[in-house]
Amino acid sequence: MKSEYFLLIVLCAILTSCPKIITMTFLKDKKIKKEFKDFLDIIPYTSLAILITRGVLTMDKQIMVPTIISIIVCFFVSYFRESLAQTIISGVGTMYILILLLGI
Amino acid sequence: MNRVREKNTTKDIKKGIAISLPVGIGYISIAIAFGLLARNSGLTLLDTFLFSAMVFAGASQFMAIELIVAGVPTLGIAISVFLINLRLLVMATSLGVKMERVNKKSIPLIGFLLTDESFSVLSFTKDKISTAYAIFVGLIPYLFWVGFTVIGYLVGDILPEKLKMSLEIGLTAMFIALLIPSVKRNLKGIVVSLIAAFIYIIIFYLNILPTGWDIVVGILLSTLIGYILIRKGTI
Repeated sequence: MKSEYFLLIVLCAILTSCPKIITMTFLKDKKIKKEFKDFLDIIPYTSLAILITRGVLTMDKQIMVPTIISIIVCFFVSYFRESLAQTIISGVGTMYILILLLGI
Repeated sequence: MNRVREKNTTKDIKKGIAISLPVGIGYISIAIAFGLLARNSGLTLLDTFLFSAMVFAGASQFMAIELIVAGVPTLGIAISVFLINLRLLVMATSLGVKMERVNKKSIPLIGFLLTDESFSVLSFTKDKISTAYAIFVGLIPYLFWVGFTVIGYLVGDILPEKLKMSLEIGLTAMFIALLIPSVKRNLKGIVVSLIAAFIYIIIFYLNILPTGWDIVVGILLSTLIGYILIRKGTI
């Protein structure tokens, strides 16, 4: 067994870990430029919103109804419970029940 | 003296495990979904294991696999992964003040183990953080993530088809669970998220950018527009 994507994985690992490790080691207690920080602060919102939108736009048409209902359930659970585990479990659970009920 | 120190370390380890266990449990279904997705995308068990063990970043890993399948070149995947993880740079900086008690040699390990979730746990911890505590807060979710990725890959054939279909929603559910609590009390966050969604819908239907690049361009463009609007005081 060999890894076909080894180089890509190493590259992803470096690009994921370096921002964290370098910042923690060298920028500890130092201030980064406010403009840059403001720009970076927005990225989690835009990237997550885009990934959610993409999840909706690229969903399998065959399971459109259960997907949309599960996503709405996730929004509500996340809003009221603010829990990663509960949101995911409720999303997957709703999806499973609906697929069974609708006989998909 | 040594005994007191050992006792404190054991206490910190127990505290770290207790607080990070729910996070680890939350990772189970996404890790299984990742293992399944990787298997269905034609990755080997070793690839899948290495992805989780070396990258340890849910959103980036899912994105990387989707981009591999879409045929995006390595550079495009690397840029997307880098962009998604830039937020952790800001998080890592803000943890600095709390890390005075942490052994310098352990910082690379703690940095590697830092995720959105462990950041939340560490930043909400009231006291100064000890080395053992910081390591275990990251380590427990890491073990769950890597372990259940492998389990997800291996049980791929055994799981009923309907359950596999249901697990696919896990990824979008995770993105929702990360976004909603942070925009809940933040009008700017809501507006910026809506702008991003709107821009992505346009990019998606224009269909002029290859898959993967549409995400990169969407993130950069909407972040820039959001940044300008916030600077101008429009939102």
